[in-house]
Amino acid sequence: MKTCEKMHEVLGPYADGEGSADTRAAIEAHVRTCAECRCEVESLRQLGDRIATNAQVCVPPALWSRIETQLATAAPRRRLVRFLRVRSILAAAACLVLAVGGYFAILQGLATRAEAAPVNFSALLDGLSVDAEKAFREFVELYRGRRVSSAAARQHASQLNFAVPEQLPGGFALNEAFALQIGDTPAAAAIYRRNGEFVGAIFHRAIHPEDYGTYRDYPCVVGEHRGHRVQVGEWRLVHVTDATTCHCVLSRLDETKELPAILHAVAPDFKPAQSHSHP
Amino acid sequence: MDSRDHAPTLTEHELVVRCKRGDRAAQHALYERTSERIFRLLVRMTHSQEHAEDLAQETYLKAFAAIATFDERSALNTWLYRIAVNEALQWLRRKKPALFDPDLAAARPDPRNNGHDPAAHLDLEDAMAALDPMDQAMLLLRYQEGLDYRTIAEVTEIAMGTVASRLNRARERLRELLRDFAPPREETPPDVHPISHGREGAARIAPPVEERAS
Repeated sequence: MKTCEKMHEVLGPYADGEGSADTRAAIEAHVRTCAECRCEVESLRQLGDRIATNAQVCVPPALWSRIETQLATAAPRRRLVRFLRVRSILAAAACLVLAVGGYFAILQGLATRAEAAPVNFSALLDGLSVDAEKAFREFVELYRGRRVSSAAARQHASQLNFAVPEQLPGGFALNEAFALQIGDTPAAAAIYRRNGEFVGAIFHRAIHPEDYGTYRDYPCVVGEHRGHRVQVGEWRLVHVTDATTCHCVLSRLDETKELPAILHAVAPDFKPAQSHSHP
Repeated sequence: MDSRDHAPTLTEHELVVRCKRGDRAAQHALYERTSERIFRLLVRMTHSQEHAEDLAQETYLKAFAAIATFDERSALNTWLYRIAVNEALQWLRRKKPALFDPDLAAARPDPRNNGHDPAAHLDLEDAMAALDPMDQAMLLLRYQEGLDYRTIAEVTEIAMGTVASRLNRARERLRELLRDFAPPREETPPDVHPISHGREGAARIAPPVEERAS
């Protein structure tokens, strides 16, 4: 019986054809002599077959047309986003083109539509593995970030519940604060440093859904708060949300160690009971 | 000559390279090669043709928008599965259905029997829908899509060593649901072929969603 109990954990992978040749041979030898385990393996295979058999679907013929239409619509918008990422000379040159042509009006319309979309974190996440701070600044730029004082950032997004203190726990000092505009609603961001180490913070209205592109966000706990996290390499974009504000902190800090105190500093009035689901 | 004519013969690498250039024919060829499995997975995860169609559209739009970052370290299918599973999980979390109650679900009259069948039971799809969404995704990736554990780990971004235990847990939970809500007439001792108890045909039940507070 003890042998069978031990076997139980490995019969699933065995029935699925997993495991090394040696492991499989050992299980095979046991299964040959044990009716109970033989029955369990058969039962597991039947369950797998049963899950597999309900697989008849027909892709709607119109689906590609829908995708193609969206691709055609999205192309100019992607060009706009790329444009917004390009700095200095290219941006200035493009501005000239915009000023000369009637293209400006078209792009403005597209920009308005882009801003009404969910907060696009994929642009930030895509750049993390190359240069996290640069990716953060590009994100700020995407949402028309203006460098301001911490007080001005706070005033700009006065409907939000957040703080931009001069110092964060752990020795991080405020480097820059920004006033952002996400759609029609003000938002804010800040950059902190500790001996060259970078931490970014973004505060936006909780009504904005968040788009992580191809990345996945996982539920997590930050101190007393329930939140969620997207991880790219060693960088973590951690979010906690109250009734009005989503507080997003980009760092390499562990949410079980330094991050809870930092979160508390940027969301000082935020109580654990206020943890909210994001749209 | 229409480049679309040649797209189906391209290798995966050539297809990806062309998609990175925004070649519409290559995008269409990629879609043609992969859409059936992506759509099938999404239908099973959402239990809805309509929502699966929306999520499939979103999957491909995101894939084409992000293909410049696809480094081909994983197979194209694996990468697309990852986007599709991600979309489905986010959708399941967003829609916040009423919490699944297997007792209420099993007591619901079967519409295909005009509500006259008193035998309360869950069918396979109901039981699948009652699983944790990630467990459901893993079972579908393994058995419906035939992925091995390593590929499932890549798609779900779960550690390779955890895939076996998650699948064990998901299978066990599924069998529990099928066993606990099997029609009494067909009940047999639970230690003998427990999976043979479920019957197809109950009304769809919304899956439980692990509450995410952000």
